[in-house]
Amino acid sequence: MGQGTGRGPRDDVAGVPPAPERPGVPRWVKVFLAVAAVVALVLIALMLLSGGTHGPGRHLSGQGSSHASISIGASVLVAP
Amino acid sequence: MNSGRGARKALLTIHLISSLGWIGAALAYLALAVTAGSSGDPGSVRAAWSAMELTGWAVIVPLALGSLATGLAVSLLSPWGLLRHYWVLISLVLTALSAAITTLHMPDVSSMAEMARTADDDELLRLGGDAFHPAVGLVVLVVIAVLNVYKPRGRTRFTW
Repeated sequence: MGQGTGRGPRDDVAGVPPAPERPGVPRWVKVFLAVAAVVALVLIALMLLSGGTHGPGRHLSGQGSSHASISIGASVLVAP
Repeated sequence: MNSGRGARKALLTIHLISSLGWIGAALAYLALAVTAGSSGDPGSVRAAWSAMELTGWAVIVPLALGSLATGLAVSLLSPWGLLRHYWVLISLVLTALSAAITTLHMPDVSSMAEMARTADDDELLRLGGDAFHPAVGLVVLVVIAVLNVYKPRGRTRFTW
């Protein structure tokens, strides 16, 4: 989101963004969104297959530690 | 250097420190999480969970929220804008999601750390770790860093 380390002086915080480009969504954005969608679907599928127990507070219901081990295993199915 | 440019540079410096610090802290958390999940020594598991709780609340969450806040400010104060370019917009979404999930996950870590403090040795070794969250989080943070360095072209329809 920030500007990071730029490609040159023109890319620093006071620099000028590139000139206007062709209209439409760039190919890299389409590829990025497709990969992100696949990853999200895989994570959702894994979560559902594990019982759909993922979510904040799932460890706070007072179960014993053996159940907590199962819960933490399910918790890693959705991230980061 | 005028005052506006100086302020933006200062904000950018804080943003870079926060963002890179977040990555470093996540790496440290990952090392602890792997230890918690794989060590055969109950003392190490207990210590790892305590350190994960402390690292998460005292370092990772502040850095994540700081990275998000300074990133918003830097973007809004620069010609890149917040929503005008795809790389900035995607970075914003990924940063916001990562910061939110990290913060929401920490109460679970505290709960597990509390269990680790009170569990006996056998229970400790069955407690497991928490490596997936930091591992996936690190992948996302690296993607954000790459987007910020390469700044791939592409403008959205937004003007803000």
